[in-house]
Amino acid sequence: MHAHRHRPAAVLTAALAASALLAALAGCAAPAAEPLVPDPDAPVAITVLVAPVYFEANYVAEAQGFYAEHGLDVTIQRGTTADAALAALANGSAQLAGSSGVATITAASRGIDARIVGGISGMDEDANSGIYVGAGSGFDSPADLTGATIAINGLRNTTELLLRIAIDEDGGDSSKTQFVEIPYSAMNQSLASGQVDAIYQVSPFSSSVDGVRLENPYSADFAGAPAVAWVATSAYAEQNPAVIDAYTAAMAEAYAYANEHPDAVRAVLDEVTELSAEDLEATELIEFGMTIEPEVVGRLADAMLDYGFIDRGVELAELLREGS
Amino acid sequence: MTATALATGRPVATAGARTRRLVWGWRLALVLLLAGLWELSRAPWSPAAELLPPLADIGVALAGLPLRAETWAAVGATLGAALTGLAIAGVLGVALGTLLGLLPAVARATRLLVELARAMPVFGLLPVCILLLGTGFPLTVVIVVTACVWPFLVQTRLGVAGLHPQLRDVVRAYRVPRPLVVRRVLLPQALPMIGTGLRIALAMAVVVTIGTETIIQSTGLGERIAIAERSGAMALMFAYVLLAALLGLACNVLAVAAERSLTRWRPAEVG
Repeated sequence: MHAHRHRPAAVLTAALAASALLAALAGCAAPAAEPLVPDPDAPVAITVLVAPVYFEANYVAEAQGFYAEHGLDVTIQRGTTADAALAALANGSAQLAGSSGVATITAASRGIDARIVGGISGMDEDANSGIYVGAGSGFDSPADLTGATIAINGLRNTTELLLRIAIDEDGGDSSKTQFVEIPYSAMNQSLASGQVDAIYQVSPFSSSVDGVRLENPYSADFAGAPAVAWVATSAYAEQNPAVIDAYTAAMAEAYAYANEHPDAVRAVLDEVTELSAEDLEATELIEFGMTIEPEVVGRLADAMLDYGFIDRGVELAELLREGS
Repeated sequence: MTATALATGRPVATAGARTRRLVWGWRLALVLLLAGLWELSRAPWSPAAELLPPLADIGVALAGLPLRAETWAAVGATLGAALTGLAIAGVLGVALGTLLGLLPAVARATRLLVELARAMPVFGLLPVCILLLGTGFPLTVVIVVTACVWPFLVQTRLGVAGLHPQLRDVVRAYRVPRPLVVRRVLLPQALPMIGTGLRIALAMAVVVTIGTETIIQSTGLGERIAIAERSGAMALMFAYVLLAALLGLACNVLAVAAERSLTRWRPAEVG
């Protein structure tokens, strides 16, 4: 009886002891007070979660030894969604992640610690992707897409935002446009069968679309905003500025190399995708690397607020790392 | 039937052979029917025409899979995650199931919760689990455990609870200690039920592992399926889907064999 009465207290004590132990362990795992400094003789090990697209330059950097030169020992991990990337940063399983600019702004507006530390590719259209409509459909300009149904790969992300802006700037009304989510591999068929009026298609599927491509609908206003950016937590970036600098410097070299050596990029694609030889040959490679213009990022965040992508505006100071 | 076999021997053997031939004939007919349906869905008027490659292309891709190093890495990763999750689910499920079998009141109190948990779609947990565990091996294992613990738990509980009245009287009369009863009477009695749980859970483990890999893109057959799909290599994608099905089939054959060897001591009618 006596023991019984004391049991809850004992359980509580055990729980407190366990949480104290966990806290102590977490303390050990957290970055030491000393900032990490990359050194070619004693490289700093980091894990980088690359985005599902625009990851080629990371493999080029690894193969060309740019990471080692900058004192980094980088483990490249393939990422999936922006949410998964931010989760990996938050739980420390990755130190840097490639993520969409729009997704990062969305996260920051919700109070999640995510800083853009460098750009991978801008929001200008490349030759492989674009908006396609059926031949003879009567859709000749973005404004015509008012009231149309457009297939995109993911809702509430970059493509939807930029297409809505393009339709409205062209004199249309994007609030009457319907966006549906369809995987790239099924888009061509859904356009051909009339299930949707337009698709936003990318390589390699764009080469076999039965339709015509509209002129570049993307607004030039956002050319300095990152479609895909390098993201870190502010906690990590402020603790280890030298690591971030070394990483962005190594990637800048990799971008220059990749832009000059398309064969190296195609070799990476051949290695990590299942693209056929023809598709690989036909793929026009993107231009890697971009300078982020804070003013344009601010404009992007404002547009996201206007279009209801976020409920709360974002201060540039809580989004961009100084000097990125 | 047995009597005829004993009496005449040969004629029945031929009848058996005839039946076997008939079964193979039906199987062949079914495969041909399915192949015909597939080719029909590829006809130009079909809404899925562009997505479905000719069967011959899939066959060629399937035959080429063993020559790819990444195939073996993927099979290894998928099996590793599925079996690790299955093992943990087995230990957890059998332990909890035994407990619930011994404590009918607790079993009744928790039944609704267990039924709810069993019916829960595990993939719905993915976003939360990604936040906690990242997107690697531990996540896949946790998802597999969450899906596979229930068949073990439910089957063990049923097996342990249904103690034969005569056995119960014997155990009571001899005042056999509780731990010994659990180890020597209840668990052996529950083994055939647990074996069924194992078979259900194993099939689930493979499917859930591949599903998780497809969504989170961790190394495995699911990731190969997703990469092939994104690259527009549809024949290769279906080849990987078929390989995944074959893997599930192989696991089931092994599970049936394991179940048999576990329950060999029992009269055949139960197994």
